[in-house]
Amino acid sequence: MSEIIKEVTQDGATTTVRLSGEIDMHQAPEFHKGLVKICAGDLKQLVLDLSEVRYIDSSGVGTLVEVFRRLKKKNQTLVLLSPGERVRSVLEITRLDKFFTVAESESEIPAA
Amino acid sequence: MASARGSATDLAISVRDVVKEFPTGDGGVIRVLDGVTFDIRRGETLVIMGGSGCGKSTLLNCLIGEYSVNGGHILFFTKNMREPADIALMDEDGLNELRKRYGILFQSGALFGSMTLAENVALPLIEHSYVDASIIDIVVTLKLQQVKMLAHRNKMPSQLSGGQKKRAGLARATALDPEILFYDEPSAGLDPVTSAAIDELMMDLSRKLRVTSVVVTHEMDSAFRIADRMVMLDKGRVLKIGDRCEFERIRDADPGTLDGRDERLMHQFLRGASEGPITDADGMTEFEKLIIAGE
Ligand SMILES: Nc1ncnc2c1ncn2[C@@H]1O[C@H](COP(=O)(O)OP(=O)(O)OP(=O)(O)O)[C@@H](O)[C@H]1O
Ligand SMILES: [Mg+2]
Repeated sequence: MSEIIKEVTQDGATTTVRLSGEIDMHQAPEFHKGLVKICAGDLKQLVLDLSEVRYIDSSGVGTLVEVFRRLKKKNQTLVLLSPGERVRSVLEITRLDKFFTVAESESEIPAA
Repeated sequence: MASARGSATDLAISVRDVVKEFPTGDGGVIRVLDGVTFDIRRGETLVIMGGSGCGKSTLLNCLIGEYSVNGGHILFFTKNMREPADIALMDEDGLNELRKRYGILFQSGALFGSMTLAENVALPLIEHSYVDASIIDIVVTLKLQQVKMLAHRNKMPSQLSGGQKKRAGLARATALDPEILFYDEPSAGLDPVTSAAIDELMMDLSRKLRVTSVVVTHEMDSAFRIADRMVMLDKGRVLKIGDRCEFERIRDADPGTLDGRDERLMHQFLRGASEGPITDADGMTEFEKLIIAGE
């Protein structure tokens, strides 16, 4: 996989990507490429499991927005699963928590 | 959380015995910083105060590596760096690497006049990050949204008010998600409402993104609003460093209960009063020198 993308699992129309580590400007380009590749696959919903992401900077958040737009164009959805406190405050300060679907736990993930 | 004793990892910057001198033009030197020692803790907002000419801007310039010091050490404890880096010993490459990790809000906002606001914010990202242009655009939008300047993104700096320039400068200073933000007089020249809004913004960045903030300011309302700790300089030395509440005690104390000249001087400064030790001797020695010695 990559530094950030640890595991990709497919369950019906939902693809779940488990992420880990610190998504900063050094990691963002490769992270972006990895997600773009995954988005090109056959899926209705992309779930990014953020529970093991300790830190995300603006280029990481920018990557999430780019992927969100990319999916939206094809009527696919993005779900952010279990962001930690650190990641959550980055989303809050940029008001992105209002646009993204954030699920606290797997049971909150909407059906694809 | 910082422990009471403080380990190396709680520190952002350690300033040790820093001396800074300038040539006076007649072959002599003037010592502006005379053995300055204090620590800046990770995640805190530290306000640097002191009378005009006491060396605040000089100290800030030494902290950002703009001025080289004549003595002492300035140690940076940055993320992912096991050993602290002494900027006194750094070459230009080292300094450039360090500069990516901190942001500076200058008094004027320091925007490029020939570029729009959005282009100004994009510049550090284009220079230092490797993400796609489409992502840079998104980051610029996020940064301008954070400082509530999105509506002005296509304006030139000359079309902005002083407060708007400050906000824009802050968007640019935070473009690369710095670990440390330096502010030189962020509320100078702003009305109280605009100044309070800038304070809110600074606190938001510091609390939510855990940015360490170092703020030089003359505005006491602002200083007491934003500071976790404060440091008072006088004649190139640290008069006192402590928690905000210690300075509040000195500010609010009955002058008769204050301990010594230093506390009376700080009391006067913090209250902005014209009566007190600040006016006693300061100008006189220089005046005496000129009048009596004819220097
Ligand atoms: N480049 C320089 N060359 C010579 N002297 C300097 C230089 N920069 C500052 N000084 C002197 O150093 C002293 C401290 O200046 P500094 O600008 O650090 O003060 P300050 O505390 O920031 O004051 P203010 O509150 O007025 O901004 C002053 O006496 C000043 O004249
Ligand atoms: Mg100054």
